[in-house]
Amino acid sequence: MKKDRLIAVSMAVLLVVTLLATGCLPGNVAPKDTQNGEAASELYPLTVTDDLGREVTLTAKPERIVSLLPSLTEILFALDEGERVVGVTDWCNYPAAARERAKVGGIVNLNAESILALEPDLIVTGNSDTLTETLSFLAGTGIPYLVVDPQSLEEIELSIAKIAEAVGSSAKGEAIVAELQADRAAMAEKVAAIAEADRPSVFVMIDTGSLFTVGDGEYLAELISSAGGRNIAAGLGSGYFEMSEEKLFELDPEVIIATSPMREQLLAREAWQELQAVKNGRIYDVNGDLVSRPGPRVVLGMEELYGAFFE
Amino acid sequence: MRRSRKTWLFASLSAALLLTVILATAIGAVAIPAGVTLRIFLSQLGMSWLETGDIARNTEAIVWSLRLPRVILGVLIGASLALAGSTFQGLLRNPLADPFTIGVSSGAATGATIAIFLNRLNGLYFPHMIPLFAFTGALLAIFFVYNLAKIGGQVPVATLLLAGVVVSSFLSAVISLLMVLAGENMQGIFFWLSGGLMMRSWTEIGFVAPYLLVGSGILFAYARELNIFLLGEEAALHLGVRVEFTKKLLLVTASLVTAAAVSVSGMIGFVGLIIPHAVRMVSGPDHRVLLPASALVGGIFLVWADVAARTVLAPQEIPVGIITAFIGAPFFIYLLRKKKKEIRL
Repeated sequence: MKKDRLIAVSMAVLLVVTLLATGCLPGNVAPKDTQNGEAASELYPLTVTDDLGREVTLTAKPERIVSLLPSLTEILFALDEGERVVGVTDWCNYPAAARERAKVGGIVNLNAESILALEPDLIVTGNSDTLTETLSFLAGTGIPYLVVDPQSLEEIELSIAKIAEAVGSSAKGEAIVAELQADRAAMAEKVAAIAEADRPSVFVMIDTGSLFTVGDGEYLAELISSAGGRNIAAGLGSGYFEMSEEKLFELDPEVIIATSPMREQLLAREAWQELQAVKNGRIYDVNGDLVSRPGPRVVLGMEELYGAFFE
Repeated sequence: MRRSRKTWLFASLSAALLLTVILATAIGAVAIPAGVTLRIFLSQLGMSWLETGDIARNTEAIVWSLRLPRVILGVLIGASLALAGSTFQGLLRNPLADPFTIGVSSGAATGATIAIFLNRLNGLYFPHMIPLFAFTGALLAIFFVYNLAKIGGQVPVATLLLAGVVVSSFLSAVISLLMVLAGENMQGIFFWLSGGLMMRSWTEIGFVAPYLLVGSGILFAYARELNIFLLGEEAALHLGVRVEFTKKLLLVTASLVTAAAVSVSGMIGFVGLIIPHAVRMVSGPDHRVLLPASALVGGIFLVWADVAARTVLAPQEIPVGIITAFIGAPFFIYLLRKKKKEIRL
């Protein structure tokens, strides 16, 4: 009887501890921002709402920024704020100057200690599955962090504007956004002049060993249609998924776009010789960095796709 | 098992396999009428007088270049895994043994991961690079496990199992490390590890078939010795079996059959573990029946699991390993409850 009670109490204690530790019970208030630098201008303290709907308050103009995504690094450098970027990931390879910044790890192996050691006053990051752990870690440090997660071309522009606002370069941000919008409008005009029937059907291949591709609701899909292609995976599913090989044959795309160099491998595929894209040699390797990074160079990716579609 | 019952069992399993191949080729993500499938089949088999001009070239390619090789490959892989699984269970006298127990699959997975890694980061590529790397990895793993387990010319079962587990864990760590280093490029590795029969062709069949044919010949020939092994190695020795030689031969043969299958299909779990147990419940423990029956049932099972993988969410694909576990686990529990008897080898 006594033992039963002991077991019951132990279980209850374990349950409460678990709930407390995971923040499911009230009382787990996130630590207050401890930054106490003086406001660099009347802009600060500044509150911005990030893509998770969080209100992020910056007490002063950020001087030590850490970027956890290649696209965000590109945005910061495009804003001429590269000087203030102190840490980037192993994959941040553009612009060249970004390579010289301290590295805080890759995509799946971000190093919390190196991030903290850089004493950042702002961290910019995304919201992919691989970053979830990092986000919960950041929440505990009190360092302000901004989550940017654009799902469309328009949202990419909004995210550039938001980062520009947070780092105090709104004017430069507006200029970049205006330029992107102008480029997009020019592309839209070019594409609008092409009859629907002349726009090629396209399959985008993200991996060599499988037919991993993009359906609806991702900016990559929007990039394809904006560049004048008809994505054959549109309407077959949302987000990224693996398409059936039979379906690829049934829809028989005019163009296959590969996001990493695999043109030769695909052209040599024995079972694919009946596909018109293979017969006509219309498989193109595009620069994966341009089409897969929601940053300021996305228009270049669009132009590369346009070039492949209407060479 | 009585001779008449045995004949009946193999006759019905063979008929089921034939029916499976025909039906599975007629089913797919793209709806093709059964009549069209049949005409493509017959015309490809040399009946050129059949009029196929009205059939789109792509429809023909779907049936002949995509579906049929995939179905045949499913038969071969399923048969290889189930055959190797029942051999390992008998040889190691362990109901938890499967083709992956002694590290063959981890070796193959490491090889494949290195291939994908080199391809993405160094741009290295040649045809069939992944299967070749995987096969080499599997052979190296077998070599290491075997030599780790060898004590003075003998290979005791317990050390073999432990060596297999140790090498597997070590190689898993190697794979994880490579995935971390590959970062953005790890998608390919993930797909290979989850296993599947998509994007395969006749070439892969040519790669797996010889190992299965030669391997099953050797294994069937030694079925009687496997039966005696169940009595214990000492008893086998007294009954005149060359214990160490037979053990090594069967070990290497079953490992090679597994290595060829895994190199092509990636990690498809469950078939090699569950099918031998399920068959044993019906056929009894006699390896002369168990080995060929497991191979047939394994082939049939994997083909149907793959039909589900390519049609359930069509036109999207699901990794076939998920399906084998989804169908396999409940089916096995059902068998277990229905028979209501202890699982034994």
